[in-house]
This record gives sequence, C-alpha cells and structure tokens, in this order.
Amino acid sequence: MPSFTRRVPSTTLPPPAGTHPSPSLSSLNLLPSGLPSLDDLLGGGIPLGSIFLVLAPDTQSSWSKLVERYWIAQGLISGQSSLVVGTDEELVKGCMWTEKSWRGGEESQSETEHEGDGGDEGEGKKIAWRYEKMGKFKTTVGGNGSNLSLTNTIPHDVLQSIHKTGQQSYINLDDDLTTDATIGTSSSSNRLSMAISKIHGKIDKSDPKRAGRITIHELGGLEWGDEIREDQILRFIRSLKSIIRNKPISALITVPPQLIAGPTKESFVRKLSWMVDASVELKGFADDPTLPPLFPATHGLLTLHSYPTSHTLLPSTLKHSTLLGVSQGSDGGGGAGENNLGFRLKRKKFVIETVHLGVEGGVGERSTGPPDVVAALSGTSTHHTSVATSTGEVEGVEKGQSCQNQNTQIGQEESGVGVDKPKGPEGDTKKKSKPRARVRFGGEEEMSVSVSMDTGKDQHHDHGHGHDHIHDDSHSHGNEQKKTSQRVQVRHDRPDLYEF
Amino acid sequence: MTYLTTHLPFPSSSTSLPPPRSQLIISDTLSSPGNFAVYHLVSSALGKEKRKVIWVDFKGEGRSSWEAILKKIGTPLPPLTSHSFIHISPSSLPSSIKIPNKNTPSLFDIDEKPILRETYDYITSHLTDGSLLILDGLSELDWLGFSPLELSKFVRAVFAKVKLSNSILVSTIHADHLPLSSTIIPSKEAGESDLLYRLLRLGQGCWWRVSHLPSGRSGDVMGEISSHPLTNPIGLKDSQKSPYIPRSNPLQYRLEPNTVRVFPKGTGRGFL
Repeated sequence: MPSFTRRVPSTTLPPPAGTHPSPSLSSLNLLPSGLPSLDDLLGGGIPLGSIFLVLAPDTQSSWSKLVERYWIAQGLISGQSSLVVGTDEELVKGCMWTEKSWRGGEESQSETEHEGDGGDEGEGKKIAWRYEKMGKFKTTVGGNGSNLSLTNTIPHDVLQSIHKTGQQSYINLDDDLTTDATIGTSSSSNRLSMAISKIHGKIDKSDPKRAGRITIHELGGLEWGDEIREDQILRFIRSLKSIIRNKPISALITVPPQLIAGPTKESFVRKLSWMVDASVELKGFADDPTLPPLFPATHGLLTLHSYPTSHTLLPSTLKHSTLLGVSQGSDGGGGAGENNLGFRLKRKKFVIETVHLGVEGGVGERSTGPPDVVAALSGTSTHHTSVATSTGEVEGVEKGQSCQNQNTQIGQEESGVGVDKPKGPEGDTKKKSKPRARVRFGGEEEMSVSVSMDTGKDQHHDHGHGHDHIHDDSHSHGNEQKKTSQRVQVRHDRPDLYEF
Repeated sequence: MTYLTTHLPFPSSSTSLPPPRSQLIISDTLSSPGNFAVYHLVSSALGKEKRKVIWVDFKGEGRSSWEAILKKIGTPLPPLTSHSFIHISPSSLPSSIKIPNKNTPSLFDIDEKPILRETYDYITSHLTDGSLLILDGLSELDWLGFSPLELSKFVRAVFAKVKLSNSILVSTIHADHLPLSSTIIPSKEAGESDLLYRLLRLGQGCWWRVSHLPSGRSGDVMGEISSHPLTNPIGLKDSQKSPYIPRSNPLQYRLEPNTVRVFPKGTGRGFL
C-alpha cells in the first residue's frame, strides 16, 4: 500500500469537436464563428458558455442575418448541435456552405491582392507601423480552417440529415400560446419565459461532450410579442447566460434594428454589451447615402463594443488581435491606438477589415465644424454658372478655371478623423487661409459667388477670375456645390496635400 | 500584497484591504472593466490575510473564470468544499425551472416580481467574523428591473450586517454615464446615475473609479483609476483616510497576462 497517493490532476477532457483552445489559456475552448476576421477580433473565437451579440442598426440591410448563417453553418460543418430560436427553417436553408473542391485545408487563405510579395520588403529596416504584421497590402486576417463560401448554399442532402438526426433543432415561439392565454401576465414576458424554459429543457438533455450553438434570432422582434421592455430582454440574456455558462454551448443573439433605435439607443446598447460576453455592431451604409463615396472599398463600419474578458486577466482580444491593433509587443500598434474597422461583402466571403482612406484622400486641413451634408446632396451649382459666363471673357484664364474647378474636389475627400460620424464633403469646414491677392486684368468683372450655406467665410467668396496661377485648397468655398461624382485630380505640384 | 497595494493603500492593518466595517465602491466603464481591482482584493484576502471571501455574483460570471484567473495571479481558489470561499450566484430564471445547485437564491418570486430577500438571507447565513463580502454587479440588478431605491435599501441592510461582524463590503457598479472630463455636462438619463449616488451617500469608505482614456483603446495604457475617500468609517480617526487620487492626476494601468502594471499618469516607470 503506498504511503502517499499521487494527486490525480483534474480531468482535462479533450476539446469538443469543432473547438480549439484559446491562445491565452489552453484550458479554455473557443468556438469559431465562421468568419476568421471576426474570430481574430474576439481573440480567437467565442468561448464556450458565452453569449455573442450582433447588432445591425441599419434598417435596410440584414448583416446580422449573414453573421447568423455563418455561425450556424460553421457549427453544422463541425458536427456540433445547433438550436435556432425565434425563426424556422428558412434561416438554415439559406446558409452558405464550403466550396465543392474543398479538401480540408487546400483552399487558399484569403483573397488578398498582391499577396506574398510584401514580406520581403521590410527586412532591411524595422517599420514601426501598425499594419506591419499584416503584410503590405493586407487589410484583414486569413482563415483558420473555415472555408465557407458564399457561392454555395447548404446542400439538400445535408439539410435532410441534420433535421433527421436532430443535429439541427428549433424552438418556435408560437407554440403553446393558447394554453398560456389563461395566465394573467403579459404575452411578451410569457414568450421570453417560455423560450427560456424550453431552452433549459433542451440543454439539460444535451450531450455534455458535444459542443453546441444556440442562435437567438431577432430577440425582441415581432415574433417575441408586443411591448417588450428593456429589462425583460436583459433578464432573458442573463437567464440564458446562467443556463449555458457551465456547458460546452455558446449562443449568438441578434436584435432587430428598431430595438436599438431612438433616444435611449446608446445606453441600451451599453447595457446589452455589458450583459453579453462579446458584442459587435455592424453599421451598414444603406441608411446614409453620403457615406459610400467616402469609403469606397467598404460596405459598412464595425464597432467592437465588448469582447470576452473571462478566464484571463489580460483579455485575449487585447493580447492577440491583429485587426484591433492594440496588441502589446513589438508587432502591435505600439501606442498608436486601435484601428478603424469596417466590413465588406465580397463575392465569396464576408470579411472584416481595417478601414483606410483612399490614396488621394485625406484633407490638408482639419475640419472645424460638422460637414455640410445637405448642400452636398442638393448639389447646387452656382459655381458652374460663374465659370460659364466668365470663360469667354478673359484670355488665358480658361485653363486655369477648369483646373481650379477640378481642384476644388480635393476638399471633398473624407476627413478621416473618426468613423462614428458621417463626414460629408469638407467644403466650408476647412480652416481659413489668408485671403489671396486678386490679380485683375482690364475689362473683366468681378464675379461674386454667393453660397447659400455659407456663413462667415465671406472673404473667399468673391474671387476674381483673372488669376493666372492655380490656387491650392484655399478655393474651398465652392466645394459643397460640386457633385460628388466628379473625378479628383491629383496635384503633383503640391505633394504636401496628400498622404501616400 | 498585490499589484494595487503600493498605489492604493488603505488605512488598515493590511493596507491591501479596506478597514473592517467600511465599504469600497468600485465603478468601471465598458471600455475599461474593473474586474482586475476585484481580483486584487480577493487575492489579498485569500492569500496573506486568510479572510473568508463571499462573492455574490450578480453578473453571472461563473466560478471557473475566477478559478483560472486567480490561479494565474498566484492565489488559487480553495476547493469547492472549503468554507473560505463562498460563491453565491443569484438566478434570474423563471420560478418554473428548478435549480439543483445550492447557493443560488432566486431574484424573482413566483409572481415574477423582483425580490432580494432570498439573496439577503443567503448572504447573512454565510457572513462570519472578518469576512470580505463582494456584491459584484449592482448595475446588472438595476437593469433587471430592481429600482435604485430597493437596491440602496438592500445594500444598506447588508452593510449593517457587515459592520456587526467586523467585515468588509465591496460593491461593483458600472458608471458609463459619468463624463470623462469636467467640462462636459452629463445628460440627464433617468435612473442611471441614481444608484451610484445612493451608494456614495452611504459613505463610510472609499470609491475607486476605473475609467477609460478619452482617446480610446491603446495597447500601452488601458485605463485610469482615481480614488475618492467618502465619509470616514466609524472608529477610524480623521487622519486615517484612504489616499485621495484625483481625476486630474490619476493612476494609469495596463493589464498583463499575470499581473497589472499600475503607475501614476505621466510616469510610465519603465513599463512603457
């Protein structure tokens, strides 16, 4: 009989199928979301037992539904169980699937342009810029094995088998309504409680070794009843958290845009972000027509409200995320601050990327006031008429005029200060420069350009048409009248205006 | 003694923990969660001080998270059977669902009305002499439908029991509504500020305010801490007050895998 007994280490179960250990803590298992760039933002994936919230405030698009489908598809491919609450088969039927030619990892990582060549160039000197780790022309991070492609939909035979085996199940909110009608409580809290009870029932019976995913579709939307209060939604989330916390199951919740609209939007989004473990907001450009020309390669902006902080003192996102850009160490941002993030729907995949200004973008001067969006949209053309009348009058000025008109486009580029407000054409909001001396030639009239939106920049409005030299960006007053569709000309004699 | 002791000492025998019969309020923001401050206190209590710790988990964080983190810091949690660490996790599930675990008082009664009576009973049954009691997530309770008045009554009742047993009370709350600069006039959002002010008025202790940098997230500095002493705990002399670290010259911190680096603003102290 041994005089001592060897202490048995705590049983470490192998990670459930389809999960991978967290880069920060090997005993914490993460579920891939189906989008490698999103996984990067979350520090590797969504921890088991966590809730991930996707907000999509623009009413015209369905970005959150796309993320839901990625989430479900990834789970189905990995053999995990999937439970959808609040909608029926339609969500699953439209899920994307892998490429037909996929054979476990052969697929190329990502569709970045100019891939591969960027690595060699930085060898000689150490470049201290935040994108160093990502390669020269790379704006997103590559795949980690998930090869879902938007060109394929889930095959019919797979659909049949997941429903038959019970891998995919649903909780319908319309069931048992008649029996609940006798209880005096309001219908909305009834449905929420009923949903929680059903989820609890299902999870209790589930296999403890098999990872699972829950998708709560449009929580608080029409299916969930009328007059849902904020506290009911938050209670639902809290209850769901307590059900899945100690299980190998994670949940994705989406909310309808109406729920996060209105005057209490900010505080409600904050409360939601606190209650869940990770929260992202995908703000598409569909609601605001001035934004697409400012961000030509992006379909929307992404805000990371909260990220998983459990199990580690230093959250995995802050430590490892390449996209976020605040990771410590030499390969991180080095105090530069986090990146601006956006998303883009490509032909085959949906990616989250860092957002850049165009090459010709950036402004030479700071904006000192909010952009004049109305004028940009109305596209008043007073300036055009002044050009037309004066063109024939003075010789040698025509060319200068046309250049000048085009050069005023410079001011219309994105301001690039932040991404939370839409920035319209800069126009009037540039800082004032010294009034230029006006050179006049005999016989010509001074045209005064009256700009209706303009207050307090009068010294720029009257400008003679006799200038021979080309002005730089001091011609800012006419900008807001230009249509955004005009081409921008790069001024090669003034490289200080641009950032390359 | 852990990472916050040298910068935020208390006028008590241990300096890491608030003096007995006093309370500590820790507020944080979404961009700068204040969990690390709670871990510091728990680590000090379990490690050097050998005090009993009672954690009332209103957020629903779960024990396994704390187990992993405290192990990394160097003071692992005692085993489940031990009485030196009690995890009370109040449940918001509907009354129809029966919860087999112990220490899970219900937050809603059979009529789905919010109640704190069960939680209070659980706490007082476990409270022994010289414990450290942590009410973690009072804001979450506020959002679940409890009124700030109810919550302040609850905290006051618990505080009375804490004082009777020479224990220490720590409450955590979210304070995203507080402006980062004194030049900003905060908008009057109903209810958000109410709970914090009620707790501050209880006094007899100190308030640690954890907030993020106005310039956004950064890899080097993750946030700031300021310390504001409240009215003196009964029994302490006036000279023995917690240090006052104003918002104008706060401590800054940076989370690392095993510890937290804390330094006065502008010094860096070789970490940056």
